[in-house]
Order: sequence, then structure tokens, then C-alpha cells
Amino acid sequence: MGWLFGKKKVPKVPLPEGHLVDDRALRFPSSPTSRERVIEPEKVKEAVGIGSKPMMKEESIFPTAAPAPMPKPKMSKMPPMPRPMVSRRPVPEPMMERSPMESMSMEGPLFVKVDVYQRVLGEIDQVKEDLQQLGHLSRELEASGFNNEDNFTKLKRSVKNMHDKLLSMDKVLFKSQGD
Amino acid sequence: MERMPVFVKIDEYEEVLSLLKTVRGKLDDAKGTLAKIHELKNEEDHHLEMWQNSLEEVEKKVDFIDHSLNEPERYQ
Repeated sequence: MGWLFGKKKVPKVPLPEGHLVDDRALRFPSSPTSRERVIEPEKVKEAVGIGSKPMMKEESIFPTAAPAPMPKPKMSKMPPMPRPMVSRRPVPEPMMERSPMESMSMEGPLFVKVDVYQRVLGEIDQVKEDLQQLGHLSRELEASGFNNEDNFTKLKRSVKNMHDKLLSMDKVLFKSQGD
Repeated sequence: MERMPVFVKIDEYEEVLSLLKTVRGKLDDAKGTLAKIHELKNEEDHHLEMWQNSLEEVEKKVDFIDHSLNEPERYQ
């Protein structure tokens, strides 16, 4: 029976002592967090592309065969049922597809990878060269337009000359006929 | 050693975007003007064709008059 009423064993490992905790640590911060750090779920959806285009049913993804025409139900002579009241809720318009530039916020600096930046600079140079070529072409076109005008003046002059000669010829021929 | 990407900072890129928008507008204007010029050129070509047809008609008639005056027996 010694095991039943024996000495109580003291644990060798000391128990942890409690310590006072500041109450403020358990409170929510009173000042709202900055909006920049909070990523709204809408923004996440925009970034992923969900919700930018209203998805149709399976028909937009999988082509389906045309549904077989349903047999017309035989109309029994029943009194017309009153139309159920339908609340007219505004139909939400489908969201327009936004370009990536529009969805980006326009504030702050932009960071572009070096290779993209170099490519952009190259493209700008190409555009400059193309514009110079266009200027050259427009000068050539102006010159050819001037030539066209010159030729047209010559054409008009020759036609007028021809007309005068024909008139004088007509006059001579009719004069001889009248004599 | 892993290659880290290097970025270029563009401070006033809103201005660049605005300029890009303007350039796009000018490009659209230029396209419209070019389409008009094409239309005018087509009209001009049509008029020139009419000119050519009329001149050919006149030439035929002048030929007839010339022949009838120079060789009257052939056209009796």
C-alpha cells in the first residue's frame, strides 16, 4: 500500500512563469493601413483577367451542335394565366476590355527592363528614319504634282489650239459651201 | 552567378504616354488624309481616262475629215 499514500513527486523541470502582457498589443491598429499596401480583390481580378470579359456559357468554348427542335406542346384550352410579376432589375452591362495601359496606375515612376528600353529606343530611331523618308517622298510628290499641273496646262493649251483651228476650218468649209 | 534583371527608371512616363496618344491621333489623321488622297487620285484617273477617250474620238473624226478632204473618191 505504500504506492498509494507515498510522497508526492516534485517535477524536476520548473513550470513557466506567466508575464504581464501589454493590452495594446492585443488591439487592432487604430489607424487604417495605407491603401497602397492593400491589394483589393478587384485589382487582383483585373490583374489576372477575371471579370474583364463576360464569359458566356460553354458555347463560347466548346462548339455544340444545334439543339434539336423541341416538339410544340399541345395547347389546351385553359384560361390565360396571369403574368408573373417580374421585378425589373437593371441588367449589368458587360465590362469593356481594358488595355493594360489603362489598368495600370499612372502614378510614380516606371521601371522598364534594360533590353525593353533599348528596343524602345531602337524603334524610336526607326520611326524617325521612316518619318524622314516620308518627308523626302512628300517633296518628290510635290514636285511631281507641279509637273502634273504643268502638263495639264500644256494639254489645255493644245486642246484650245485644236479647237481654234477646227473652228477656222469649219468657217472656211462653210464659206466655200455658201459661195 | 545568377544574372539579375536590370531596370531603367522612367520618371515622367505619364508625359510619354500622353505624347504617344497624340502621335497615335496624328497617325489616324494621316491615314484619313491618305485615304482621301487615294480617292481624289482615283477620280483624277477616271477623268484622265475620259480625256483619253475623248481625244481618241476627236482623232478619229479628224482622220475622217482629213481622208475625206484628201481622197474624196474613197468616201463617196
